[in-house]
This record gives sequence, C-alpha cells and structure tokens, in this order.
Amino acid sequence: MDRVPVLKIGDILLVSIQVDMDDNTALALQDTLTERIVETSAHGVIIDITALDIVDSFIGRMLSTIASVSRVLDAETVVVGMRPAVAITLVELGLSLTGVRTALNVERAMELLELSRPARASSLSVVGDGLDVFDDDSPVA
Amino acid sequence: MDSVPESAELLRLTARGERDVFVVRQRGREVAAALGLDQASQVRLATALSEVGRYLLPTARPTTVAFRLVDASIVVTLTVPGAVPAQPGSPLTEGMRAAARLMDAVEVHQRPSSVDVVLRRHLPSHFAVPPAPELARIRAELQAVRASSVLDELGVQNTQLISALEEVQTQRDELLRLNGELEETNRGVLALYTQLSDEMEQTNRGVVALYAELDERTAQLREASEAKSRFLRNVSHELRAPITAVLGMLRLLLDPRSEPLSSEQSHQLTLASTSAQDLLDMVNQLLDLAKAEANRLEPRWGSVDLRAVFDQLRGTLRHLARPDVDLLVEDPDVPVLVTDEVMLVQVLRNLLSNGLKFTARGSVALSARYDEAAHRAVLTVTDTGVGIDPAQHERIFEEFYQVPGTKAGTGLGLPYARRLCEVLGAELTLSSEPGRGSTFTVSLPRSPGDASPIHTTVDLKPIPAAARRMERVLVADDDTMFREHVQRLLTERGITVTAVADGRAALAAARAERPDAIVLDLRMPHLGGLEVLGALAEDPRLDAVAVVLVTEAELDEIGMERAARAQAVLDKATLTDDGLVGALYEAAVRRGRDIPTQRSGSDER
Repeated sequence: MDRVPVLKIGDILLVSIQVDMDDNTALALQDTLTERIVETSAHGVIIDITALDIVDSFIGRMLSTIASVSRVLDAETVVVGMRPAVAITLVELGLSLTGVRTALNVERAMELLELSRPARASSLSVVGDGLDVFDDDSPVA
Repeated sequence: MDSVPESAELLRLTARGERDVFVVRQRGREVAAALGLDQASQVRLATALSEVGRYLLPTARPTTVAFRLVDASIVVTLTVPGAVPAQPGSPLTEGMRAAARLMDAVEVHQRPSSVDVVLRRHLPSHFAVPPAPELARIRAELQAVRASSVLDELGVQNTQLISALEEVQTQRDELLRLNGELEETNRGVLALYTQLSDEMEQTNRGVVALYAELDERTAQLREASEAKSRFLRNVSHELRAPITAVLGMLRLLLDPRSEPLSSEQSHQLTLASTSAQDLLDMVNQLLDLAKAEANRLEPRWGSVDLRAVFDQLRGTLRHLARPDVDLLVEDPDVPVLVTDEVMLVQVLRNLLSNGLKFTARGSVALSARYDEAAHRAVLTVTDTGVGIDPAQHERIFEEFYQVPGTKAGTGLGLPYARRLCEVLGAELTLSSEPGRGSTFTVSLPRSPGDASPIHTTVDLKPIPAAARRMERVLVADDDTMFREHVQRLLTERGITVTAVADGRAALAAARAERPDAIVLDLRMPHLGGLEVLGALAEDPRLDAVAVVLVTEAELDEIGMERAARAQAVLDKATLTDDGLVGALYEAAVRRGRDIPTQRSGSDER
C-alpha cells in the first residue's frame, strides 16, 4: 500500500501527494494527517498536488474532507501546485472544493498561513473572520 | 476520413480491481496524446475514465476497455460481465453524470450477460483524422507500451493467480462432491454390511436350530436302533425254538434206526435238513449280532493256540469250497495268544466263508504271522474272488448290506466279524479292488493287555507287575462243587485261595485279607453277589481288588449297571478252566489300569 508522507515545517504540515489515490490511501492519509495535527499542534496544512495529472471528483471530495477535518482541529488547509489542465477539468466537472484554500506554490501558501495566524490566535471572533475569508476565496488562486 | 475504417480500434485492455483505475485513465491519456490531442483534452478523457472506472472496476470482475476511433470521435467502451446497478442515484450513475460533463455522450447498454458503458468525445473540428498507416503506427506504439507496462504484467499475473484460484476452487468443489459420493458409498456399504450381518445371524440361528434338530434325530435314531436290536433278539429267540424242533424231527426221521425211507425221500429229507440247518445258522448269526449290538458280548479269555484253530477251520470249511477253488490254510507260526477262541474262530470262519462264497476259481488263503514289536498276531484272509469296489469298503461292514449285483449271503457275516474284533481288541481291515480279489486283515493283540494302541504301551508298563501280584484269591459261591473246583484249579497255579459260601462271609474275608481278586457268585444266601459288589465299591481300601462275577443267569440292564464294579461277568454254564484263569488275570490287569497307581504304592504288604 502506498503511503503519503507528511512532513513538518515549523508549525505547518506539508503533504505531498505523489501517487494515485484510491479509497484506502485516502483514508490512510486522512488518519495520519489528523493524528499528526494533534501531535504537533500544527496550525496549517499544505497539500501539494503538483504530481497529480488528474484530479477527479473522488480526489476533490477527499481534499474537501481533509480541509474540513483539519479546520475542526484548528488547522488551515491550502492546496498548492494544481496544474492548469487539472483546474480546467475541475471547473468542467463542477467541483468547487468547498472550504479549501489554494495557492500557486508552497512559498505562497506559507505566506498565506503566516498572515492568518495572528488573527486566529487573538480571539474566537477572529476565527469567525477567518472563516469568512475562506468563503470569499476563489478556488483558483 | 473515407480512408479510415468506420471503427478503428486503437487499444484494448482488460482491467480488474480498484488500482487498475489508474492504469485505465493513464492509457486513456496516452491514447489521446498519441492522437495528438492537447493537454486539457488528455486530462479530460482521463478524468472521465477515472470517474466511471472508480465505480465499475472495484467489482473485481474483468472489465474490457476498448478505445476506438469512430466518425471523428474517440469512443471508449467499458464492458463489465454480469449486471451493474445503474438506476438513478446509484454510484455508477453519479460517476456517469460527472463524466458526462467532460464528454459529449455517456451511455449505458444493459446486455444479457454484460453491461457496456460507452464514453464518446468528438474530436475538435480542426483535428484531422490520421490516415490508416498512421493509425496502425499509433496502435503499434500503444500496444508496445502496453507490453512493457509493469502494471499490466502484474495484471496478467493477477489474472493467472485468479484463474489458479478459480481452479483450486473448482477442485475443492470437485473434492467436496467426491467426498459426498464417498460418504454415500460408505453409507451404502454400511447398509449392505448390516444387511449381510443380519442375514448371517439369521443363517446362524438356522444352523443352531438345525443342530438341535440333528441332535434330536440322532437320539431318535439311537432309540430306533435299540428297538431294532431288541426286536432282532426277541425274534431270533422265537425263531430258534421251532427250527430246533424241525431239525430234531428231521434227524429222527433220518435216523437209521427209524423206519426205512426210499432213497428219494431220504434225499429230500436231507435237503430239508440242510436248509433248516442254514436257517438256524442265520438265526444264530442274527442273535449274535443283536447281542453284539446290545454290548452283551463278553469275551471269555483263555489261552488259544492258533494251530488248533486253523486245523479246525480247515476241516470245517473245506466242503464249502467250489470245485475250482483251493482253500489254503497255512500252519501258523505264532505264540499262544490270550483271547476268546470262540469269537476268533467265528471271525475267521465268517471271513473265510465270505471269501469262498465270492470266489469262483482260484484260492482262498488263511495265513498268520506275529508282529513282535506290536505284540500282535496278524491274520490274513486272501481270496481271488470278485473283489470289492473301494467305495463299498466301509459299507460292507454295515448290517444287511450287500454289494450290488451279488446274491449270496445275509449281509450279516462281515458286520458281526467286525463287532467281534472290536470286542477282542482287534482291528479288521480290508484292501480290495474289483476283479482282483480281496484281503481281510485281522490284527489281534497277543493278550487283552496289549489291546491298546502301541503308543500307549509305555503308560501300561505297571500292568504286568500288577497282574503278577495275583497271589490271593477269594472264591465266594454257595455251590460247593464249583467252589472246590475253582479252589483246586487256582491252588494248582500257586495261588492262595480262600473259599467262602455266602456273601456276608465273602465281605468279611475280603476286608480281613484284602485278596488280589474275588471270584463272586451272583446268587448266594444272606448277601447276593450284586450286594457284595455294592459294599466293595463303597470301601476305598478294597479298591485294588479285581472282581470276576460268575452266574448262571443272564443279567438284565439294571443288573449290568450294578455289576459295573466287576471286571468280568462269566457264564457258569459255559465256563472253562482256562477261561476262568484268563478272566482273573485280565480282571486284575483292568483293575490295575482303572485305579490310580498311588493306591497300589501305599498298599504294599
């Protein structure tokens, strides 16, 4: 069974999906990631899908789920490295990747997460602001 | 476009399982790339295949995926064997809806044994369909890639594994079926076994019942046989009296002192007399046989010189021989035997007259020799007569049996001879072949002590010693004449004799003197012979004493039983001196054999 590695950079977890995902891999990734978030008290998750040629509705749903679960565990999720053809296909498929923020690359994603951190740390209301910010974001950066 | 076949297949592959989704969509992308479609179109086709494949392939059924070029469209057909739920709301329908956003048409064709999912995408209008050679090259390239694909290799191995598994499953099913058959057979065998053992049991019961019946029949036969013997005895007695009367009358008539007869009358009367004599002989034979059957034949032991016996036989039987037959009687070279002369003569006479009867020419010979080792005299009667078939050898010793085809004889002579031989401890055997004459052999013990088979003679060694201890004899008889006669007879032989006149005195003398043997009369005043016998039997100190019972009357069944203590019962009317002495020795021998030797050991006087 292929496993997806989860790397820790500061208080951010970096997930780089290099393999084709099926049901089991997806579930395993979800379990590993949630455990690692709790374990490291990470406040951000970056999922790199540069290696994926094809993102179908299954992967889309998986990304959404991971993002939702991570947010409940107090970590923001940013998807990076999406290819143009993949983006087109996602739009054609009608997938909105609800609750998932995107960035062009890892660097931009880390900046994005750095920006949201003080707000998040201040109060619960800011968390609510954060949520609003996510909702306003376009899926395509 | 016209140069292209209506449907040109570019690639066909078989996918199975979830992981193959990635293979299928990768191949789809390659097909699109090979046709020269742009990046977005490649991803679009691949994603559509992914959407559909994720719901079709995990069924683990081999799914055929065919890529074709039809009327300027890419057509991908996924064929799944069996049925796939495709109603609205099912996962497949969801996948197809997603795929439909990317393709121009997505259709499902439910077929009887499979489901086809067809994806169709029109090629862009600017896209030129490659000519046939170009298509062939594309096809070759795609297939070359396919051959080197590791995943396909795995797929092939997987397929082989699955087929192997299926085979194993089939074999297991076959084994189960065979096992079932075996169990069935086993049950059958068990049932058969039960049935067989039931039948055996039934047969067994039948056999047991048969045995019981046989026992019953045997008892009945024995009774019948005894009844027959009784009948014979009685009838013979009844017959004998009138025949004796007739013979007497004839003898009177033929007596030279009576009235003279004409020669014709004399001849006829002689014939009648001969016939009456024959009849009397036959009746006597019958009576003898009946006696033998009732086990009433008691041998009178005495010294017998075979020479005299042979002389007598030679004289009496000569006239029976036919003109062409010689009766040859040798002079025997055999020591004096202790046996019953009358019985022996009877045996030999029967055998000889039998031989003479069935021999038309040639000879009938009687010879004897002595077997030193076995202490037996071997007497042989040989004739050159008709002979006897081996199958008849045993039957001729049956009463009233006659060899088929023969007329002469009563069928009583040989059985009677055998009976007598048994009583004498002798063996009568026959060897004969039809047409070559017969040889009867009588193997006669030198004395009654030698009668037992040779192999037990070792056990009987003490017996002559016991017999030698014949030193004191008690004679009990109220008949003074007889008493004195016996006393004289025995004293002559160096034996101390005590003579008493009644049973009570006899018992007292026996207890006081403990003689070696007692000569006991049956009828005496005060205490009869049988009563004395009873008292003797109860006294263990007198165990070693041999008893010879003498009587004038014939004992009945009960008397015989009560006289069991006696070793011999002798008829006083026919008793000879030798007979009495022989019987005394024989009685001592028998008594010595019957009682345990330890008593004679502790009894030394």
